[in-house]
Amino acid sequence: MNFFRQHHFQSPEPIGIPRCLWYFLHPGLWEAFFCELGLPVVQSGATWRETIACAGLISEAEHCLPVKIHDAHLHQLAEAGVARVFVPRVLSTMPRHIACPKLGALPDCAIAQFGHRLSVVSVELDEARVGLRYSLLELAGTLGVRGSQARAAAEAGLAALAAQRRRWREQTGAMGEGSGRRILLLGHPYNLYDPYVSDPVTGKLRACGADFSLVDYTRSRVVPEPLKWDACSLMYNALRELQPSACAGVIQLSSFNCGCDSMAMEFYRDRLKRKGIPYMRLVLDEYEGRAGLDTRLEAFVDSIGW
Amino acid sequence: MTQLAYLGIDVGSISVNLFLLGADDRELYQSYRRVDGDPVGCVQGSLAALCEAIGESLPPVGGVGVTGSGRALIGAVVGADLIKNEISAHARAAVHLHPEVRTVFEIGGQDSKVTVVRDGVVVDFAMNLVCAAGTGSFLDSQAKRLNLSIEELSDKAMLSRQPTSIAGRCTVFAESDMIHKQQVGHRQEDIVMGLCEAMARNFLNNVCQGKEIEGPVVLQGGVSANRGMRRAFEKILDTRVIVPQYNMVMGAYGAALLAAEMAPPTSRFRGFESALRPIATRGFVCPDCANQCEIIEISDRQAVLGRSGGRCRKWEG
Amino acid sequence: MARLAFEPWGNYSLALAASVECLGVEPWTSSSTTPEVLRLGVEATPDSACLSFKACTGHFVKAAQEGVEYGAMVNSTGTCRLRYYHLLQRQILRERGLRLFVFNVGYDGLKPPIVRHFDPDLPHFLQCCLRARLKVLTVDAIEGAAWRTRARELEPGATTRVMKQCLQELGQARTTRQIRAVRRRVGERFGTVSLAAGRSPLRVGLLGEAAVLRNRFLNHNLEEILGSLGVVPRNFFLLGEEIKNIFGVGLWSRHSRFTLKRLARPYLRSPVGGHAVESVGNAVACAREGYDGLIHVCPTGCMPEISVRPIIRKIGRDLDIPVLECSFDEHTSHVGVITRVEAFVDVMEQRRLRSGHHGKNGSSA
Repeated sequence: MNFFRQHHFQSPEPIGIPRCLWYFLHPGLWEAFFCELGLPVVQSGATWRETIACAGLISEAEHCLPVKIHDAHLHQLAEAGVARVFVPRVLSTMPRHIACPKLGALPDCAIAQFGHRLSVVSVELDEARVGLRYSLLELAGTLGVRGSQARAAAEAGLAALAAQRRRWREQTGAMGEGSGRRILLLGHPYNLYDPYVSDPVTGKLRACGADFSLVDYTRSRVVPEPLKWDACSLMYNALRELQPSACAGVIQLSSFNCGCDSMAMEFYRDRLKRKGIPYMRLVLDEYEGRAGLDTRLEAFVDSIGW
Repeated sequence: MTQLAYLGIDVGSISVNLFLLGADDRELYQSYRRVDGDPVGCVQGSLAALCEAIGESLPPVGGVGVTGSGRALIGAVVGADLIKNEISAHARAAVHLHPEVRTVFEIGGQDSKVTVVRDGVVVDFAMNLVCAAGTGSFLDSQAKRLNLSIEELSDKAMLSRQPTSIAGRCTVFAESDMIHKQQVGHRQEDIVMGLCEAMARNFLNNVCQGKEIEGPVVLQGGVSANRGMRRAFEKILDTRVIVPQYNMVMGAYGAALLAAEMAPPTSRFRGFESALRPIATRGFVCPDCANQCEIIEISDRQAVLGRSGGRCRKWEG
Repeated sequence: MARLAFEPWGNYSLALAASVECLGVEPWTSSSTTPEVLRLGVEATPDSACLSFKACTGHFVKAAQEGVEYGAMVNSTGTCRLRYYHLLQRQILRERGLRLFVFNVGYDGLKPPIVRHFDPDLPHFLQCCLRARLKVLTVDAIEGAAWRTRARELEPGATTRVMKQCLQELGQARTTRQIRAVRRRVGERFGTVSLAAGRSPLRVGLLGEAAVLRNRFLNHNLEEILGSLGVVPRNFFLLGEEIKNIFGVGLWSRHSRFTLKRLARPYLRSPVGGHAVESVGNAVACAREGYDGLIHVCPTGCMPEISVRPIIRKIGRDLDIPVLECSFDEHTSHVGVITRVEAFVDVMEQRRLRSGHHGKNGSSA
């Protein structure tokens, strides 16, 4: 108890949160949670051109783009003088599903690459096994906070998460709501909701006058067949219900070297072919060849007859 | 006692380089010749040119070192004392000329490699995998596109004040982006320097991944003739980049040094005359397994000198 | 008789063929992929799929073209792409109008679909499986002997010749007694290869993704390249150990998943998937066992192995053992592989010469 007090009276060391990859799986949750625990939070800045350039230089060449960006964010936090960062071990974000295996190795990789400059705070998130709330309490425990304060922090975090998800949903509008046929944008949350990654695509679509919505990450009933990866399965389930009358086409935003997408896209393609809905996959990488992106988007929009 | 000379041959995918090393590390002869699809003929041409250039004063050859991707075949043709992979040969040369070096960048026509050297010993290295974006052919094709020779490209790059940023996962993307930048109206020297930076960045991203790049850096290989590249590396790495004396023929120089170090009691060198005789080559498909490797057999007047080309090592040696 | 195709697993194919035979079907396989099969696979599969998948799918396409009815694909319950391979292969074959049914073989209870389908006589089936296991162990013994002798053989190719002979005998062996006899003779057979005297050769551990580790075509014959450079390789995908792991026996052995997980724990706490934990564990074990170097092998873009690459690099730095990273895809050049391996052998030799000195990263802080 004594130790606990001491810990609290000293001004606590701030905790760094890289704003990328797993951050977008639980948007808003972590800031609210750590704030309520009384820990100052330092966020890395949003992804921008320099982040991508840095990612290319410091990260393993064969990683997928999101993991490279994650390394760059950690680098940025270390450069900013942050001494510890939070990197969760995400094993699953939905019941009966598993997360991309790369997410499970992230804290270990962070230690291997940045261990000499940063200490890494981590917690296992396995929502297929234990609820998010329980994992949050566990994390609070490892940080030395227990009891009502920990519970309050967990509540605050979950409320912030729900609020942010609601905001996303309102911003983008779900498929089938509103009028007319739309384009559905598929993609992992860290691609769709990272403005730097998705803006060129959404901006171009808007400029073409195309109506689109993003895949809905608030959906609750998801069957883990045939894909067991959480985000991929969610997207596949969304495609299952898609009607050609409501959907003009599907565009998948995918990152270069993404292992999950390389498998999942075949399943999407097969499903959409049977439904007769046009499908296009856009691959994003750390080299910015935007000219090609624009051309392909324009051609796709033209081909579905907007 | 007459002084012996040591010959180094680097048989690359783009060029064949020779270096003849005299006593006291003196350079007796060096040459750089494009392969154009016939490595054996090219080596023989280079050797003939060497004989012609030096003529009577040619000292006896004490040993021959061969390196480069065609080392096995050429080693058999000339009778090499030492057949060494080009990574070790390049590093040997760089360390010899600049003992303080900690990193060696070697960027040739199709290969590029980084070698990490500590206290004069190679401790780590990497080589490009499949992509041409970090190699000389990238710059070659872009220079052609701009209608510039490599020398002009080099001069132009030094003039640039505000290099254009050019995307380049591969030559195709870089080309389309470059055309785009031209159309938008960027200055040519900025585009050229932008290309050098794109290529340096490509090299660092793809080849040097996870390696400890520390200065001083030695930059060698065909691309080092371009002063823009040195400037680009210095800018990105913020460290001293040295282009060594024999920058174009470092592989051959290294092979010659290694041969001199080895100093074989009697050299297996077949002599300039036999090495210059026409060589018969014969190709056949190995029938022993489903891989169906194409084996190349070379012979000189019925005597088989060597074979190469198999995936298993049955035919070699 | 119906035929069943399965992916080549190097010399293990021979043992696996024995287990397929006991299902009452004829096995269709080879010990390694061929250029033609790989080309078929590359054409049939998505560009971003991994090399192992391309090669394996190529086999099924080739088999289907030759009229083979069934295929068997390993299916991990893990997190890697392997889980979906059989589904995707079924889809690919269907789209091409090929009639080959791909079974998935994985943790599907005591009687997996493939066994249920062929429904062999149970006691006979179990006996055959035990015999197949014995063949696997014999293959391990043969390969171990080959690795050791090839590095020091005086006449190039002698070891490979003896090895081929042994494998041929093993392939022909039908009864348990015959297999045992082959196994007993391994030492004697390899004893006929004359060896160079002298210092003990360098030892290298090969870690990484199983299919590339075991398919000689995919890894450009790494074991032989190393052997001819006078290096003893040790391939850490061992099917015998894998079987033990599946049935949960031999938990305390050096190669059990349990031990490797424990060794990997300071560096990696997540299972990741595939053989990533095993790779990390083996890297630590090799460093402790005094290996001279490690070669980490995987197909380009392999999800689990690429994820742990920074970790293996870190182990190399911490435990002072050089690591060569090799990713393979259908464009990998053979000469490039040889050059890299030769240079790596130079690095290891230099280190041995200077041992006592600080090796890697000597003067960096």
